[in-house]
Amino acid sequence: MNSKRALRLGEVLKCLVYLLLTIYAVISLLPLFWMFTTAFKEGSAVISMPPQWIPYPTSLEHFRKLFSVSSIFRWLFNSAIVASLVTAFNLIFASMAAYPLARKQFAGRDLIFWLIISMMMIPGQITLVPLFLMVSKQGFLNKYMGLILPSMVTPFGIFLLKQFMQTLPKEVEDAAIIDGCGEFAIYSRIILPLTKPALAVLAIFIFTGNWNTLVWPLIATNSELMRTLPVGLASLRQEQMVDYGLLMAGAAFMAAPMIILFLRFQQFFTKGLTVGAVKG
Amino acid sequence: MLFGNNNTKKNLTPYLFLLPALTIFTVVTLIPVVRGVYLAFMRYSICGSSFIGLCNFKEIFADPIFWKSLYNAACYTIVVVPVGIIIALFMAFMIFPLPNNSQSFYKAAFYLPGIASSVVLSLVWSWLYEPNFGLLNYLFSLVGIEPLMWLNDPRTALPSLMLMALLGGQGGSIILYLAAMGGIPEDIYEAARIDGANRWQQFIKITFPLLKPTTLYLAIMGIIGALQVFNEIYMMTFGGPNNSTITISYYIYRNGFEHFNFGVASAAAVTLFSIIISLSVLQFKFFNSDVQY
Amino acid sequence: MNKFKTVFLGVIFLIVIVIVIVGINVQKRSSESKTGSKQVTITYWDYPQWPGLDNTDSSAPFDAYPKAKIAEFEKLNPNIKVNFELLTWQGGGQKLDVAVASRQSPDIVYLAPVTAFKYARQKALIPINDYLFPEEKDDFYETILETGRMENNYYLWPWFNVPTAVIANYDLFEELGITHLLPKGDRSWTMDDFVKAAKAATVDRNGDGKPDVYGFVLEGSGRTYFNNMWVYAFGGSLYSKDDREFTLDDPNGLKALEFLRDLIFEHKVVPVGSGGMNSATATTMFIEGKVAMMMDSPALLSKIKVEAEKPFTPYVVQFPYLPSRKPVSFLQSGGFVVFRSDNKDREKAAMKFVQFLTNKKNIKSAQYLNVFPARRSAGTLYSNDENMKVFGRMIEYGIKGGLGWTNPNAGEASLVIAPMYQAVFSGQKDPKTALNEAAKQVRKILAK
Repeated sequence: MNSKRALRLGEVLKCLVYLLLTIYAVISLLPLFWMFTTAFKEGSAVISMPPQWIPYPTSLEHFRKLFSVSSIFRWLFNSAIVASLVTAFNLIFASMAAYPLARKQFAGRDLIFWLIISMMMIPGQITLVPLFLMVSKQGFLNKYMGLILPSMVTPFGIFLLKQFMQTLPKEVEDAAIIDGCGEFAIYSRIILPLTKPALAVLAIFIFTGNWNTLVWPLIATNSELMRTLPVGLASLRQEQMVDYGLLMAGAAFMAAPMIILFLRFQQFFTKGLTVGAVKG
Repeated sequence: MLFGNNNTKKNLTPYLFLLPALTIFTVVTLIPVVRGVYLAFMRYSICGSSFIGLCNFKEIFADPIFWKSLYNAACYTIVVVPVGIIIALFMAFMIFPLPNNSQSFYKAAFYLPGIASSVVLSLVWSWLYEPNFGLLNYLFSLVGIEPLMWLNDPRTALPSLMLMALLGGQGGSIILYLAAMGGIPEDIYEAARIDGANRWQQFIKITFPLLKPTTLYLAIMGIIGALQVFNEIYMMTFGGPNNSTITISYYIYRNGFEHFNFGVASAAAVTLFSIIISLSVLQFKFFNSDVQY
Repeated sequence: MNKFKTVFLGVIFLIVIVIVIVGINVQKRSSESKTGSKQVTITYWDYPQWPGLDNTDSSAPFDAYPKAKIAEFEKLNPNIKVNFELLTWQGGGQKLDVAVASRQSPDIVYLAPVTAFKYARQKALIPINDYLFPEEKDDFYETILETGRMENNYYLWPWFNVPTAVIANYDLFEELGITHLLPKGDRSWTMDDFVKAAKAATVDRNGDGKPDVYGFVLEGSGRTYFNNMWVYAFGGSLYSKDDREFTLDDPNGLKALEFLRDLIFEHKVVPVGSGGMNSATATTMFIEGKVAMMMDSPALLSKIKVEAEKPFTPYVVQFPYLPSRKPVSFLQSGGFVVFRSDNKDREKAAMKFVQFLTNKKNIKSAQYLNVFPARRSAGTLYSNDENMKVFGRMIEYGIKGGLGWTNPNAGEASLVIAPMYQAVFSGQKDPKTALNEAAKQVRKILAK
């Protein structure tokens, strides 16, 4: 009798879980949904109050207009290069920095850690002008270097990886030390593979964060050919008659690669991937 | 041996690892920050700045709007950070046992909206909160509740922004928790199950403690982010109505970029920095533990 | 040794990447010319105004017109080179701020007065007085020039401006048989006639006790500058002529607020929810025929054509006036500003280009945006369009000064004034209380 009731309770709970999750998911997906459907709506129906949820009739006119803009693929290329390089540099440098902070004791460790963290506590408005001055003096304006350099290493990346590396058992290094491996080998062959879930998360966070930023690439570029996607799309907007269809088509175009990237990378932190890390 | 005695090597090697990151930091972050903070003690003008000691600080401490902005930022943080973490943990807890396909779907559903451009998000949420045609007031009318003015009413504006963050802004935290949960070896749960622990006990005794580093990270990052909340105010409320949504970051922006008063803006930033770092150090002292198995 | 090799290889790898990055850069910024004794290069930044040369091809680039004008100008002035950069409406202001703060501002930008005065206070702009007297001064409308004046200096060289008037739904008036209540001729009318027309246009079609069509609409949470217009119509003013004192709470300002409150609660020609009404909702109501008259710029005329399901004939009328006074109009204006530089030749070249862009021929480009050129000698651009002619007449009635634009704290003060209208329109506070409370707060802000 007891087990049957427990089973039913389990079933009810499961249904409740799915229900709750789905409601939250629907609320969450609302902006994306509106963005994609508006991109396919016919011109006049685009911004109506209350909004039209299902695009009917559908139309590709906004996308056609978007692709007729001559530089859009150049902007896409720029965004891709900058975001990829920024992500790659971050993964390498942040993990290299997080490793000693997480696994080693050495003089000045806490000081360095707090120095790095405290960089996040100053609002960007204060550093914007000095940073611009410096980048400009170095001649990096309107070049890829100017777009990549300021974001090459971020404190939150180091912090995130440090927290994750901290949780790995001490034993994983012991075997390697006995075998006589050097520090770099321990880092690259043991710790790094075990940090894969955190690395995947960091890669996603950094790539999407960089892909979407508007202010710095706007300030750091002068010519149309060096613009990134957000900046280029912003330059298609007038003040008064905002073409929401075109705006959403651009936003959808910008979001698509990130969605694909996310779906590709999120498998790295699905459960079941780190089985046997210790015992093996 | 190449590096002399072992002790030197022990202290030197970590710095080699830290070298690339620290070099770049110093150049692109530390130096601009120092330059920016320096302005807190100056009267800024395009033609040149002059040293005025603590005058900027006196000015902001005498400004009621500075305190209001600090108060607003504090309220926002106190609500959004703890509740947000609880929501994220709860969601991750519910998603983690699901089969991989469902997991992928929900993960995407919660994280992806965060990648939509801020223009899209502010448009959609402005519509949700629209007093006459918005979805929320429409739903209220269905159930018979009085419509609210949401972003237009000084009493509900800040809570509306908080709601926005709680409902739409937890994707990253959920993903992070899921990743951290994935890093916990299955064997530990196996051992606990053999000992007779049920799912809830497993969570309390195993999962939650092992997630402490992640929780600490989210708490600190959360506070750092929430106290500096800016984008939503910049795109949707401009600090109004009646200064009810002005936060310290927006105060800094307004003084810096609307009045070109970078001295005052820097002073406010330095004050904010002191608050954040004190809170962070406290949190570390209380909640940090070298979590090992 | 192993570790050493790996680190070494890693560093080599990184250096290679860095070289690659620097190598595939595009250098589009043309360098300053080294030859020629008087060769000058100036930079011109502008926001996207219209696509293509004349706003007929919506997929044309937004920099077509500026670039075409630059080409013409460079041919006439071979020793001046103009570099153009297209800003973005979103973020562009911040980019300009950063450029100015780091002393790398462009030479010419087209700005609104409030932004221009921000830079003027920092002494970053040159006054255009020397270039303005005496020939040009008479050719530009005085009301437009005044919007760009701070103390004794003019900083904005005008190009176009956007006046405000009242637009009526003629088809609706026809259907109700009350077109005789609308003014003819030069289409000016008094406040009383306006109220009469609004009352007649407020109808309850389905007999449920609530009007289905309102005569007019007010935006309590929308464009405050439209609400402010009524204050000036009643002889009041937000600020004193020098923008230093707050004067909204003088008797005329109070009368204006009471009039607006009466529109909602006594004459009942304005929807009761006007406290929370924003511009999007108000515009939608007008376009859907739920509101008979609305105040706006010529932009509303285009919206009717594009967005209305059932487009109707618009009938533009002047803003109503009090019998003892003249009509007023709010002019949304802007102008070219020229930034100071150490090189006087650059300033002169920049002004020359600005004057070229706004000469009698080029200033007519205002018509591509359906707005009005700032010169009288440009003539009446819309001689066939009666509606546009009414807008044109309103330029002379532009509000001159007292809007607070030159006061650095006015922006903060406007965050107090807007909720004041909201409170009055929603009936939460009566005009006198709302006005006094707002005035107290604003005076505190101004005292900073």
